[in-house]
Amino acid sequence: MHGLIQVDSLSKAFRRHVKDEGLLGSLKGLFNRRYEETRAVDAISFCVGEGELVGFLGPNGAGKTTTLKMLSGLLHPTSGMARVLGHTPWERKDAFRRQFALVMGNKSQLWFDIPAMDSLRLNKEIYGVDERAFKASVGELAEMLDVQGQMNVPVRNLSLGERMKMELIASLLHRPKVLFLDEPTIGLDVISQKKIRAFLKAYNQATRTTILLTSHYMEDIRALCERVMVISQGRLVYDGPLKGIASRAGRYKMLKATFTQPVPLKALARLGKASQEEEGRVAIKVPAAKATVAARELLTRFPVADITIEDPPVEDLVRQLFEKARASRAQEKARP
Amino acid sequence: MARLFRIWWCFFKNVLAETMSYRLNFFLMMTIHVGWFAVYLATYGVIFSQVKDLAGWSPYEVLFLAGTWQLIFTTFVGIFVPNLSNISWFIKTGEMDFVLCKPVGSLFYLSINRVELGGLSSMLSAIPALAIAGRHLPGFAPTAWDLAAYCLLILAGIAILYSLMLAIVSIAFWATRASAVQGLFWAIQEFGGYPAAIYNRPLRWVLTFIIPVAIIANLPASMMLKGLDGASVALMLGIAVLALVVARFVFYAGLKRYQSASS
Amino acid sequence: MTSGLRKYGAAYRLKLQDTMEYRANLVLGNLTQFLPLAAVLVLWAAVYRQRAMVAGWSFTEVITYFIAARAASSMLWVSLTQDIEKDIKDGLLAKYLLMPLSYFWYWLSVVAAEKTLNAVVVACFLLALGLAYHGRFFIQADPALLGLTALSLLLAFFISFCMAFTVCMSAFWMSEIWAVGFTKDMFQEALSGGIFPLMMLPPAIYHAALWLPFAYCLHFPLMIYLGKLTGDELARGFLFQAGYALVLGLLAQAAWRLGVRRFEAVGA
Repeated sequence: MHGLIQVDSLSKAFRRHVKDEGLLGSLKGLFNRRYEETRAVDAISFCVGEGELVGFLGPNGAGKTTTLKMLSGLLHPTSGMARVLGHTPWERKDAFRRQFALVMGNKSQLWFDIPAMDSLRLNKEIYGVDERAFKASVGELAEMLDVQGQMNVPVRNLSLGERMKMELIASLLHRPKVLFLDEPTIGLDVISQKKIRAFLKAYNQATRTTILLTSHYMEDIRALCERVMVISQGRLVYDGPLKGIASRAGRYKMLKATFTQPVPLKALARLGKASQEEEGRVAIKVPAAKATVAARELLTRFPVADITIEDPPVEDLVRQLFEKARASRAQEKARP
Repeated sequence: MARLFRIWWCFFKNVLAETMSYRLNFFLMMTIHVGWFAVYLATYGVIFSQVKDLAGWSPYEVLFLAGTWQLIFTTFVGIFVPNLSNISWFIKTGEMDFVLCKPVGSLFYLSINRVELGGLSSMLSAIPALAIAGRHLPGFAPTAWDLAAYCLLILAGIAILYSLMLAIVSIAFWATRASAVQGLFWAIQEFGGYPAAIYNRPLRWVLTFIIPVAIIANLPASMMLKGLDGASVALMLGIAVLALVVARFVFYAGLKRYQSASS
Repeated sequence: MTSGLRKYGAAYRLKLQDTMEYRANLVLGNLTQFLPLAAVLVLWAAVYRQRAMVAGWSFTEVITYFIAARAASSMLWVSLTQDIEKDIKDGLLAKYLLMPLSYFWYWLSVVAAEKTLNAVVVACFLLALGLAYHGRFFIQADPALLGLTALSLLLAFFISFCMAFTVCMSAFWMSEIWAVGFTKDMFQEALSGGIFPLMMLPPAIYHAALWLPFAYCLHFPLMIYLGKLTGDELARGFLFQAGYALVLGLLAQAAWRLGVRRFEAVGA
């Protein structure tokens, strides 16, 4: 195994307690608790080299965040090993912690009521960055992210997109060798998402910082990563170039439409595979090449109130990969 | 060492800035602490309006004890309470993850990241109480050594309070859904503000050696009133050090569990 | 009317379930309330070693008072700050405004559920204490007085709830209200007889305290139980208690309406 990040058969299992519903269930729960075990991460292995920008893709609850937390040292695995920058993360040595950063999309490490700059200064002290390097880093990052004017605004008064940018500066001012990002664009508007992605790509190219990012948005991965790892139910189902799945994912598009008058599904069948969704919406699966033609036909022939063209959900992609992996395993077994 | 102080100073500055946005809270907190002191003194007032002494302590001796307790307690509340009580909150919101990733000792970071200025400033209310008591006590003439020992024991008292609260709050690592366990600390500290003589022998022993609340104010106060006593000083310091060691152990054991069990 | 009661009943039941999830919390929370009681009792035992009667109270009466005070306050007193404050600050309030529900009565139902469970745990504890130390306390035998005590306790709960609710309404105007809540709690403890019997205060202060609502959160029901009130004082007390229940109830509703108006104007 070689590379900045080495993971071998890493596993993590949890015990969760299960309760029956209703008042009776609660009373029972007072005296007798039932537990069930879940395998959040199941024998994952991979290596990441210096300067790579790798994406973890998978549906919610697949084990992406749990894996990231083990690599940051926040969790002990149930079994297996991992080494990041030559250290075992969960020993949490200071020498290790000085060299990486973790950013979580829905949690903030900045103090809420005071200017972002004050939180940055705190990190400067904690990471032992000297004044000159601090000013240089923060200046560069603020310029790349276009937030020079917001440095002295209380974080409370910043927009969500601006807060994420400040989070990134706070995490990068000590020039970590590895950056872990957990759902960094979650909850952000489309423009902020684009800006964050552009920044991460530029930063990775300029500094050769190794970046590992998790997301359940295909768009994040598509825009940033050359290499993708797909995780489902704790297992790695794909580890390779983006091209490998982009083509698969890109084979189909979903046309989603609502109508001013009810339209029977049969009538839509000629466009593609149609199914009913909630709130009167219909989803039609069409080959990507035919998407615009199908959309035009939909608009001209049917009383469309609203229409969008989307990627198929990640779950579909994952299911395909899963089945492909299973099929190839079965093939190998069948070989004499 | 200097780095640790710089980090603490950074936290302090941030809290100061934050307090400026919440000035009203600061004054309210100070009012509350001084108010509690007044109520605490009023209890003694009611008692002494009916009896001449309390388990061998005269009114002004009790006042001196009360002042000592207020001094130790409010300083502790100002510096450590907002941090220790936040630990379970950090766990709940996931902020603990950020703390664990930083290249600083986690216990240090968690213990000092905030300061409660209202509480800290209300420690000043203890001074008049101590002064008045001193003036009304015949033969009360502390030497420089007495004062030095007194200050040292005040620090030991704060260390003991810190250890007690840390050990109790660390239980949150195991019993994640029992936040009420923190209340245990506030219940226990109530035993600290009264003359230890009111407790019977077995209880006094428990409150000195197992859950050392009773000695926190009693030892420094009675030492000032009755004279410097090397053995007592050594005892209190010893207990303080032991308490710190045990509490730190419990904390890190809990942290390990958090790392294994949480998601 | 029945549909109205049903929805509050549902809120009550749901909170019961929710609280039982945290079974350790339930037991611990109530236990920790009683620990300081030991310190207080030991303190007063030391006082009574010198005299049989203090300010007209016997030792038995004082012990009963403190235990009853602690039990009653854990069953009656309300401190809502965090939940309501969160609703207002995070804008979750909007979902309640859309429902055909009175926010005031909703929270009353939720708090009542919490207090019910508290009462169960406290009752168990009192029972154990009573069996272990029978003869050391004063048990009220007069059924009329017991009935009046119960009535007074209900009113005390309502008054306590209204005060807590009104304090929470300040969250519409201030960004952090925990200090306000804390201040109110402190005044409540001190002036309701939670620290020591109000009667032991100098007469001038005692009579002044009787004009404040706090005295009717604890002192009044306890005095009824201990049989320390004359007929006149009883009547006067109920007048004040009922009066405060009404006034504080109206005040809470008014504060709510003002707050909602601001919420709708400003957002959150």
